[in-house]
Amino acid sequence: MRAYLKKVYSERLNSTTVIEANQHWFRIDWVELWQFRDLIGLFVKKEFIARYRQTILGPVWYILQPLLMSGVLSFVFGSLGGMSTDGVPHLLFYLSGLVTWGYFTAAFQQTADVLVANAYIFRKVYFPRLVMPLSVVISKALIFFTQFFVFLAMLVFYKFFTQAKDSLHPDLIKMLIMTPVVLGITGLLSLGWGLIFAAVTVKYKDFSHVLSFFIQIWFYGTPIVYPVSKIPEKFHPYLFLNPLIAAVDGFRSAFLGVDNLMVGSLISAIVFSAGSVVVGIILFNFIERDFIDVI
Amino acid sequence: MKPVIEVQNISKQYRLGVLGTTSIRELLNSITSSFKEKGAAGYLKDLSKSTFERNYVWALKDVSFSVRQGEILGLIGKNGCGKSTLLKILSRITFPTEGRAVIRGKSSALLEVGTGFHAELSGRENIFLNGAILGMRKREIEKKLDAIVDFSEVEKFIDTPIKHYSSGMYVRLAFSVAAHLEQPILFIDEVLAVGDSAFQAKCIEKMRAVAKSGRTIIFVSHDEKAVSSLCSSCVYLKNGKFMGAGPTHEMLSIYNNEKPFESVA
Repeated sequence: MRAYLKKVYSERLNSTTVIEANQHWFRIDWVELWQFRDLIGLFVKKEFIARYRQTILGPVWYILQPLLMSGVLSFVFGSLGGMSTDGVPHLLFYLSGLVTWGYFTAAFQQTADVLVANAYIFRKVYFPRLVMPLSVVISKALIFFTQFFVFLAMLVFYKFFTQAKDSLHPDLIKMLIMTPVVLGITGLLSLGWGLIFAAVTVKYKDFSHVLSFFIQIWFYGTPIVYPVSKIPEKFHPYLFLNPLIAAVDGFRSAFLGVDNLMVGSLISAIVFSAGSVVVGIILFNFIERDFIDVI
Repeated sequence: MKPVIEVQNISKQYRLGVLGTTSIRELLNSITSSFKEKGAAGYLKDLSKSTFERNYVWALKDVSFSVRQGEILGLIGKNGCGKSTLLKILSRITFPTEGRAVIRGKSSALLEVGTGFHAELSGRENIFLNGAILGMRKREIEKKLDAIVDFSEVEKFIDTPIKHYSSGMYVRLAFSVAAHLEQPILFIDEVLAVGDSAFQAKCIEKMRAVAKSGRTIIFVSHDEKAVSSLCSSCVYLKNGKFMGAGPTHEMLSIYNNEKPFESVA
């Protein structure tokens, strides 16, 4: 590995490109990726402009969407289903889960589609293909923040202006720690799984159908419409398999003061998400080499 | 001094038929059958040398040549001879099946103008996006913005989304970005000369200026006039094989002499 890095580094210094039939299986050309950082920024910008233009509400949609969604969930699961929210106001409870989930699913879905959807570009020009998934994860993270601030505003409202104030116990220190941790877990996880799906979908288009099921199952497997305390005891040994449980749980524990944050599960969530990125990059590299001949 | 581009024994194999649709059943069948016949070890051996070797075609076979600094090399040959495949390999859009190539210096490929243009973005925004896709830094584009806009003749509409552009305006803008690339090595596939005849002349003029600026260029075209006016030397490919390299007029005459026989065959 070291010899390999040294070789890549010296090649980059004289900007020499070597094109070979066989390539290293875990090849990330960081220098080249850095050279294309402007492109990542421009793709992020494009994503926003292309979405806003010719809409009346523009960016307001990013705020409305999770609000409407948590309204629907409150009605279906809260009012009709009578699902427990650990004493937290329904709207706030669902929104706290949806903010994290929304980031995950948006970044995951778009990353999974990144090779097929942009094949018309990749067919005609080369740039490090990892630029695309990275710009997806970054642009969705920005959307996460807009929704996150809506959540904060609602939290302030409920905490200081309603009777629910006694059921909410936000913890400032935990908030400061958990925000980057949750963002990191979710970002890595969506990147990793997105790359895995992007790679296999190139070979077998079946996976684009599998994806929507997969996401639906994942949604119900994550404590968004129910609190972690409602998960039966017998499932507890397997919860580490879904890093999003720890992420949502950690988020709620910091901002709402409910659920019990477990440091162990957070660490395993970080390891699992990072692991998915490693697997994702290996698969992506493997497919990326000549996917344009297959697609 | 080492050549700027070295192509060493490059080969590229494509699979015939419907590409990439090995069905799961087909895959499982081939796995189980080779498993039954040869056991696990035999299966792994099969897998490593590609069990699915059926109908393959060599788009390029064992092509080698090199390009010196400042040379404008033309790739000639009839349709399907592997010119575009070679250009795709050099521009890293796809990989060779065998062999290697070394490119010493920054390169950019122009296989199409306006790659990545987005209809909702304005002309200006698209210049930045397209320029960055082609490998320019934001700073470089800012410096050249005026020249690009000026060349494209669409100043008035530069802040209008390009979905409102006429097709002529669109290609003029697209060509202008490409024409202002600064990479010392360029791979160009018949993208020059777009738009109406006046603008085409302007394009060709610009290409000449680029060709004279000391950059190294590999140029693919069917247009013999363009090749002979731009390229100092040529590589002739036929059915994916290297047929020879040399001064443009020599290679063109070899190519033209062979042509009648090919069309009969």
